[in-house]
Amino acid sequence: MTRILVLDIPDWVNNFETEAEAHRQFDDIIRRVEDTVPLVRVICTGRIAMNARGPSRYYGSEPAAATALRAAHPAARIGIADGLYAAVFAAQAAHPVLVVPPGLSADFLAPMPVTQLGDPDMADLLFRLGVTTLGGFAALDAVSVQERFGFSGERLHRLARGLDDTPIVPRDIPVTYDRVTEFEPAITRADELAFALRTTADDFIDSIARDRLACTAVWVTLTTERGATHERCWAHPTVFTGADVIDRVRWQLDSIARLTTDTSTEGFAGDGIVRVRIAPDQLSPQSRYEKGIWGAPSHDRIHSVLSRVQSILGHEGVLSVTVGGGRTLADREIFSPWGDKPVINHEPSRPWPGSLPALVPTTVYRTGTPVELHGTAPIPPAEVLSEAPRWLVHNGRQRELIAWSGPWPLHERWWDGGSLNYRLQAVDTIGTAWVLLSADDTWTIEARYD
Amino acid sequence: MSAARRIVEHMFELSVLRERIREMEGPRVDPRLPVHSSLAPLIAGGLAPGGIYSISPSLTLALGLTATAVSESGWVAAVGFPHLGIEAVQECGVSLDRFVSIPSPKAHWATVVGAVCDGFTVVIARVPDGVSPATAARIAAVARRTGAVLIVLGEWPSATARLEVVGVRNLGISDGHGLLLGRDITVRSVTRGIVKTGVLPWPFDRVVEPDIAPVRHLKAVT
Repeated sequence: MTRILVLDIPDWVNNFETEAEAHRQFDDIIRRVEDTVPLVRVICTGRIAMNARGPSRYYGSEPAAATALRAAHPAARIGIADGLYAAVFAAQAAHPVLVVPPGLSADFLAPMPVTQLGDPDMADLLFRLGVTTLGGFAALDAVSVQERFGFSGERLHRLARGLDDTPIVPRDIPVTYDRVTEFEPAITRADELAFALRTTADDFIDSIARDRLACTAVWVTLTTERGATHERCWAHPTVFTGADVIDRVRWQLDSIARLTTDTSTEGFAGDGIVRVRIAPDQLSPQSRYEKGIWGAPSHDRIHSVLSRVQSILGHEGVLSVTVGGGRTLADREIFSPWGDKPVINHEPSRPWPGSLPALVPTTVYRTGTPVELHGTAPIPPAEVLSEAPRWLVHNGRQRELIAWSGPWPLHERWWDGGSLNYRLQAVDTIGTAWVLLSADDTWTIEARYD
Repeated sequence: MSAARRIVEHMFELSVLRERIREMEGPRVDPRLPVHSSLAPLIAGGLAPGGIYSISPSLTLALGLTATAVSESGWVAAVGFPHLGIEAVQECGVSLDRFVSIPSPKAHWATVVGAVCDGFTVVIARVPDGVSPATAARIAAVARRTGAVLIVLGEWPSATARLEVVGVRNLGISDGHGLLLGRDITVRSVTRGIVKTGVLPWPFDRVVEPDIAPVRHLKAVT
């Protein structure tokens, strides 16, 4: 039986704002461990495993190795046992070091409840059979277990008997999936850049896939001729492929180009890209994303279709939507490019005095379209009650109004001198209903019921 | 692993695959998708998968056709509506988790609509001016193959059904007072020469206001 050493830092992930940050910080710890033990495997963020033989030989004994490795982090706990499964439990039970002697893993595991098998269905079944501990489960006859529970049952049975033979597949040393590509002369066009990076991106994803990992977020760093860098993290709803990475690089270059045509601050305009760095931000075990032969869930299909559309229209061409809070209708709508997490600025559940009551309109204009309101003469917002509105003039087209209601005041930020606006509902002769909003001296269309 | 066990494992895999094949081969009677009760009689009971419904430019009507069909599952794409009211989409029961907006496909309209017809249950699209009959036929073929329902706002050469809004009553609002509380939209369909009408209320769970009986003008008989 292979002796395995597990280093566990309890609650590691919960100490950080994001999982990505936790992973990054944990990477430093891994590096520190790798200084002494070259072959380690990350079980999850906060927990690593390695073959115990190497370090114990180096440090003289297993307890000595465990004590030495504790230096990696003050909260670290070390467990050593036969097989990974028992070693993980040993680390969890350690204060701060626990060495289960060779051949005693089964005894160590025996009092644990069967729920620790990590298979709720199996645990439930065993409970009903009156088997509540791993020891009880281990005592069952192996052949009968295989007949009754099949291969997965047999695997769990081996775990319970302390016979876990999961090999420790070490991570490469040092793990650098990062790819840096330099260009001479500089590249200015997105398609040219995409073409130049094609093999690099595929190679990047392949190297990750070789370690049975899947990349779910990448950092793309673009460096220009003038030395300015533009870095962005792109998340992916499922898993990045080489083509997906290329898309992100292209979108990022597009967004830089857009940025510089809008504002002429320190610019990328006419400034080519000389260096591209692609680095993984989040890696997960690949098994989570492997598909059946035909059984790809429909979400995957949707995703591949939308990714294709995004590769035609750009990242912002396909939008996910959510409803947030706010007083104007447009404020309440939150759009985020497909694949990105939405950013909700305003809590929808809070009361929003002044938001449009009752009926929600089917069309909402995010940029107010200016219109004129006429009675016998044009009616500016300030004089809305001076005369009943009779005409709506929009894009040179006159619409006769048959009903109207309002105005309702809409205060925005009145406490720091914000403006006082009005909202008005109106119905034209063909039955279309309009919601108008005043903006200073003009009326704009906020929404339409069509 | 022993050879015998490997065989057993393969047999198990085979049985799983057979099961999948059976599922896929299952009777392909694609049932019509349900729509709002007021619209069902107008389109032969429901939306036909792969059908193309050409409607007048009313988003309320588009949502009326969509909402019931995707209330439980299925994805909706809206193509070419930069100003679609998101709250209205949510209000009518479409889950925003299964909704995407492709606001301005511009020159790639046909490609995009063709792409989203593969995988989405309902695609609502605004028809740009000048969709050629060839493009229309190509998109229709995609929809037929994938079973997506395409609801187009605008004219379509060979639509499964045509629905148009022929009248709207806005309730609760009058000259200078009140507040818009609901809308009753009268919809007319023409399928193979047969004309039918129905009244779609907005919001969809409202009860349609009873119509005031039309006044009969009596004529003197001589």
